[in-house]
Amino acid sequence: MDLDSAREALIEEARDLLNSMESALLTIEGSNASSEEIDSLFRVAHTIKGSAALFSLDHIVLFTHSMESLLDLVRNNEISINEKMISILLDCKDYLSLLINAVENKTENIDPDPENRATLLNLLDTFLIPTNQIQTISSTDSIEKDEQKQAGDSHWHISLRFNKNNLINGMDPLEFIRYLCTLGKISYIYTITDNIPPLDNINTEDCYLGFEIDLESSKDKKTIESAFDFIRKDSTIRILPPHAKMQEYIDLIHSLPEPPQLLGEIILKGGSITPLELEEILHIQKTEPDRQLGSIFVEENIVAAPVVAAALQKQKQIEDKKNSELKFIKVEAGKLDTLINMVGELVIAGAAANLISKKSNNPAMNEACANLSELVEQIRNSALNLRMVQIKEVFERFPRVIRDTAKDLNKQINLKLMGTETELDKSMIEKLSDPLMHIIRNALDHGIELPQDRINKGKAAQGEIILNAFHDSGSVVIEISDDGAGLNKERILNKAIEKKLINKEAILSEHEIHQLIFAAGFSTAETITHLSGRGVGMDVVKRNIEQLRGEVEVLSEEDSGSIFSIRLPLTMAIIDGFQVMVADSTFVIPLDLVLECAELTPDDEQHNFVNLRGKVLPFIRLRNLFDLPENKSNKENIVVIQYGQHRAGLVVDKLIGEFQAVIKPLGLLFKELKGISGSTILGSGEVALILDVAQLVQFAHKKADISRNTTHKTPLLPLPIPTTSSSDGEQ
Amino acid sequence: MLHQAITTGCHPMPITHKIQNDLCTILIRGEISIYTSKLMQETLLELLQSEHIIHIDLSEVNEIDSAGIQLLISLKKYAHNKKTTLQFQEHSLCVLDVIDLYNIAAELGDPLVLTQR
Repeated sequence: MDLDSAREALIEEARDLLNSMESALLTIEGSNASSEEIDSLFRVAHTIKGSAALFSLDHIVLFTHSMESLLDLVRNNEISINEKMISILLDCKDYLSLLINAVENKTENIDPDPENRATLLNLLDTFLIPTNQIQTISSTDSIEKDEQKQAGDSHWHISLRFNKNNLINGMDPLEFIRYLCTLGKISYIYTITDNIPPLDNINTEDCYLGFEIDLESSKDKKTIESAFDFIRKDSTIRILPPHAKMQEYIDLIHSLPEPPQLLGEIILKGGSITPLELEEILHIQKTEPDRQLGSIFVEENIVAAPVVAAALQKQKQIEDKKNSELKFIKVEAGKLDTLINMVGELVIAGAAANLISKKSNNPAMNEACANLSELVEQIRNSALNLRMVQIKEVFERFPRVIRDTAKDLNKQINLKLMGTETELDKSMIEKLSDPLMHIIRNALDHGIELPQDRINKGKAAQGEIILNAFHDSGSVVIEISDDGAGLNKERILNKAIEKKLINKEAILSEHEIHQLIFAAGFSTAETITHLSGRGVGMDVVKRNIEQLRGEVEVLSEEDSGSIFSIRLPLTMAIIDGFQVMVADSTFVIPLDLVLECAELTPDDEQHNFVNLRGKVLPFIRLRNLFDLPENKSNKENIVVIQYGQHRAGLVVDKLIGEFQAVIKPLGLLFKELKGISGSTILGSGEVALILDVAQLVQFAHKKADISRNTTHKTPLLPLPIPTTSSSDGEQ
Repeated sequence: MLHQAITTGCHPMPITHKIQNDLCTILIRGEISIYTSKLMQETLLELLQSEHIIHIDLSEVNEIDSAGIQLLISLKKYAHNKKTTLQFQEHSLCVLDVIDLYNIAAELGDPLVLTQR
């Protein structure tokens, strides 16, 4: 059982790593390779290899070993990364994903794609071979162990012991170290302060300092030596060139005044020698027994252990930045759902308690309940936040798809991601991936033109696709825009007539024509490619989005591009609602979508509009819509709601106020019901219906349009609520 | 000897201190360098004769060289031998810079606000 969960961890980790590898590769391809990305690539191969070895997944170990060797060479600047290599590494990543899938399905003993594996290994080898030769040449050198040296080509080791007169002569060691910084990068420095006497014995003008320095520099020995020309005469200076022989380090340790163990540790820390080599040096020396690395500082100096930790923290901070994922813990989704359900119940129970306390007229009780509801609201918010995920998770899948597809189609495409930190519900993120992929593939395939065509049209050869996400009045909007050819109205119309989606005589606005592409069984592609155009495109997208209680729309202009805009509700579990009453029934409107409330006086009312401060506002009477009994008091209120760009009024009897509503889905029986998006339970235990604002707004506008077009007054439609047409072109 | 003459001539007293209960806060101003270190050694030795906990405020230090760093370390060693608690505080940027360059933060052992480079 335990082993299984460890395997799961391996699979999950490997997938994360592979994703980061892919994005690193794409970044490198887009710009120049920075050492950070190369390092991260190496780390991916290395880590996967390590974890796979734990489970003796030899397939993976052998394969990643080849990748690791190649990346190691790249990392040490022995070969430079190029486009071909990136493509191969991307293929390697894909193959590794297959291997990981095989592990997940417990079929790791069967190679998922042996041919591909052989090709990839061969390709990796072509990069490896030339350097292998170099390695064999260097290992003909008779010094043992030198070939294991981690140090690159430019690793110098410098030992400095300043003469005590240096300071008074104006030779401040600081200046020399600063000068060294200009020759290269000091990868490690250890300042020897042991010789500084305490305050009562110090001669403040004498110099007591010594340094062990590791310098990464491509300069030659002469340049580095010349840095110390001024102090050569009276100070001790030892410079060991890169790949110095073991004996030279032994000599160095001999020749310096400090105890060899200390020096050994310092040099080891700087990375000039490996622990193995140090052990050997010290063995030769036959000095005191081994001490633990690091303990030496605590023991030899006046340093308290926690302070060492403080100094180390700096390095850690930088590391932490890289591994920001460590800040997250992984929780089973089911546990979160349970928590949120419980919070939902808590909200309902809290509302009931509130109601009773209000009736009881007990001030202490009221106060306690008020506190409680405030806390419940906070808990609700944080619980819901747990489910919120940055949309980055979806967006980051696309750069690779776009890169590969663009190559396939010989198109040049630049992808821009915006608003990647916009958060939305985890369950939505998962369901969004497919529809987005569809839209993007469409944009790639039909939207963006070939470079030559673009140039002919006077556009840049490189097309642009922008993925943008942002929050807008209680919903999340995701826009996919391209600067391609746009939708061809005529072709859409012809196709729609051909497929009998609309009548020949139908007169449609431009907007309505564009929305036709979402109709079932519609595909305008003249040739069916493997990317899109199988006729299961946009209608499936639309259905998927509608399942998330969202909607999708397209805006397009011929030759300048299209924008697909997907609008989704923020969360699906608990909302802040606004409670209203019509006759004896209670309804809840999502509070985010409520703009304002006003009393409705008969004068305001004109046909299907009200006059709201001089502006026309279409409205719906919920009483008529749901066929509820007449109002006795004659007083009516109007709630102004907004969805997207459109506003509408809802006429109700009574305004109750804010209410936290736990959305309970309606059963299958009510699936086709329009105007209602769910139900919730009130504190009193009664059921209230949650209004579907999107549909109501749409309905109000449609009704207003009809009454404007037909001069006589249209009677308001009673239940059942008229179904809004499934394709927008039917009117 | 030449240096000391210059020091006393040109610089106002760079070390001030105040005592509060058992805490002695010493403020060092200006530069801690080969030019000022001799004088500072004397003043500091005097101040360290008391039994107080010593906090040394380095926020007003605008220059420090190797002699200055040596002075700080030797101060630490002296306090350590005497079993006096001595801490450097509020390191100014130029002090942090040198501590960073020499990699002696652990050696000095004071809580630092770590600079990010």
